[in-house]
Amino acid sequence: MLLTRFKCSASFLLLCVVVVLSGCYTRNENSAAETEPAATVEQPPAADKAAPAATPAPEKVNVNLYLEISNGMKGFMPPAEAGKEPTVFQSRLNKLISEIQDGRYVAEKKYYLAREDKQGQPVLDSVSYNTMKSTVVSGIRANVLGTPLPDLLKAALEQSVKQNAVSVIISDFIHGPHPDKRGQFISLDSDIRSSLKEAEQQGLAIAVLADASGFYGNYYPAVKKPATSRTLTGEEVPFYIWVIGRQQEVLAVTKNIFRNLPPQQAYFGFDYKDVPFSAILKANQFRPAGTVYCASRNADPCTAIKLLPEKSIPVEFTLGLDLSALPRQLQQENYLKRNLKVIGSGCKASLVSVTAADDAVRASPDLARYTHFLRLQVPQLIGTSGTITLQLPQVQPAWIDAWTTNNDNNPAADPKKTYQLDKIIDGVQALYRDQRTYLFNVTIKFNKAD
Amino acid sequence: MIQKFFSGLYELLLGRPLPANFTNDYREVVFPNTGLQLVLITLAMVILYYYVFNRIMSTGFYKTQHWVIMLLINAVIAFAIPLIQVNNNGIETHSYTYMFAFVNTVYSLVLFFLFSILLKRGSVQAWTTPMKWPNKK
Repeated sequence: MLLTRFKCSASFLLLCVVVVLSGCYTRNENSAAETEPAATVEQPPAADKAAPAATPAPEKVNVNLYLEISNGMKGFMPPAEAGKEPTVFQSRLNKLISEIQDGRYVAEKKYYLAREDKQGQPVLDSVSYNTMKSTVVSGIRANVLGTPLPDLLKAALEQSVKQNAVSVIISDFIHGPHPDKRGQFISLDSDIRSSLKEAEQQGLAIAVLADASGFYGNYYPAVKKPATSRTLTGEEVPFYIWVIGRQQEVLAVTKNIFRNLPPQQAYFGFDYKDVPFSAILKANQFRPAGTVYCASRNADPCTAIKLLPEKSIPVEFTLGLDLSALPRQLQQENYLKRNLKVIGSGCKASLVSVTAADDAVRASPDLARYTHFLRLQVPQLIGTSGTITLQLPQVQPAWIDAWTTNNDNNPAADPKKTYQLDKIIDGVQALYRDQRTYLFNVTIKFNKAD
Repeated sequence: MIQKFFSGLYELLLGRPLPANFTNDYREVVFPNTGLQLVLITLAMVILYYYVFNRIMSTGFYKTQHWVIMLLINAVIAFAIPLIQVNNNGIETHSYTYMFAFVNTVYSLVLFFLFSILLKRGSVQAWTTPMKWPNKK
């Protein structure tokens, strides 16, 4: 009797336990059923062609290298002598062509010497690696006229587009129009724009790298007064390397082939449609302040949040961004801090700080996906819902103005300046002005916390 | 619905979950889990006392002191549940967590008493524990 009672009570207890346990909600972080709907709604389709950030950098690229050879370029490439240091131009170019020729990142390579023929038309002479190398190390012997800048760019670009290659154009970029066509000085920006129109139409991006090199020999300034030419003995004269191609390829070239880039860099037509980002709300390294939490418990990445700033406790939280696809120089914390714009709609928002990922962050699997962490502060809401948008505008780098002059006649007195460089750059910028105002754009949605 | 009910029940005394970044975890997981477990375990304890110990098994545990022991065991369980829930869900421990455990304990006392009043009339030996009211015989 007692045994039956005990059995009975035991089964009853068991029943109770089962009921208790089955009633529980479980937190299942990997539950696909719960995570996926949120993720699909908030993430734009990444497979789209217009999402360069999602496409991986190409393994190998085709490179066409164009070196302008004109009398004005001779001074960069003085003939080698024992005991004489090569110029910056020579050593940089030597490394560059060697990397193109023998490095593992280039598939098809072609070298061209750009000059002008007797009719004033640009000519691109296809040459071997050895000819290119000997031109760089022992100089240009023949008397050659340089081709005007817009024509050079246009010819090189057409050639590369045909061959599906990245153009690397090296020149001093001193504009020397034909004496009969002096008007080109005034229309330089629009001429540059027209000459590069194809780049814009083909969706190509442009990187401009500038460096200065010792110059030995006759220097031909754009401004011919008081002297039409000057003899320089090691004064620094700027030269430029333009890289034109598809965004990913340009980045691959600047990263893998140039290796150490000069500090003067400018990027045009770069566009990142899909920068991966997430509000980082639960990491120990980036604790939020005030009332802020992700709108959906399991969302990863978290792109919608709920917040409720109070007068004494403004909301502060961290946003993780993966900016690894950007050019290195634009990834610098200072650059981002200076140029990033935070636009709150329905709230007041500001950028507190920008930090790049350090080793501790990279070791944490949830955070390792992001390269930069932006601390945002929201002191006040204006509506019950809205968005916070982060934009990185296309900014003209400061060195461009510093390297610009309106009289390049005496480089000894005023070194490292190029005649009307700003106008040339204006022409390039005009190409992309209307469709690519921002390098990237990230929008996080918010609702007032309930 | 159940989530809202239990979140409301706990936040009534506790205020918003802290740290705030775990608000969703509290509202969607911890509060409803704790609330459901509280109700079911308390119910089980009451049934165990009145119907198992004092009806099926006819043990001698029918006095008020035995009832109080059951009440306290239930309270200890009720204190433990929130701590276990918070831990298992990877939520940072905060003074809020202990306040939550305390509030849950208080709720367990109230609930145990309520269930006792409702269910004690079905007991053979303990229908007057902890007091005769509201049963009449």
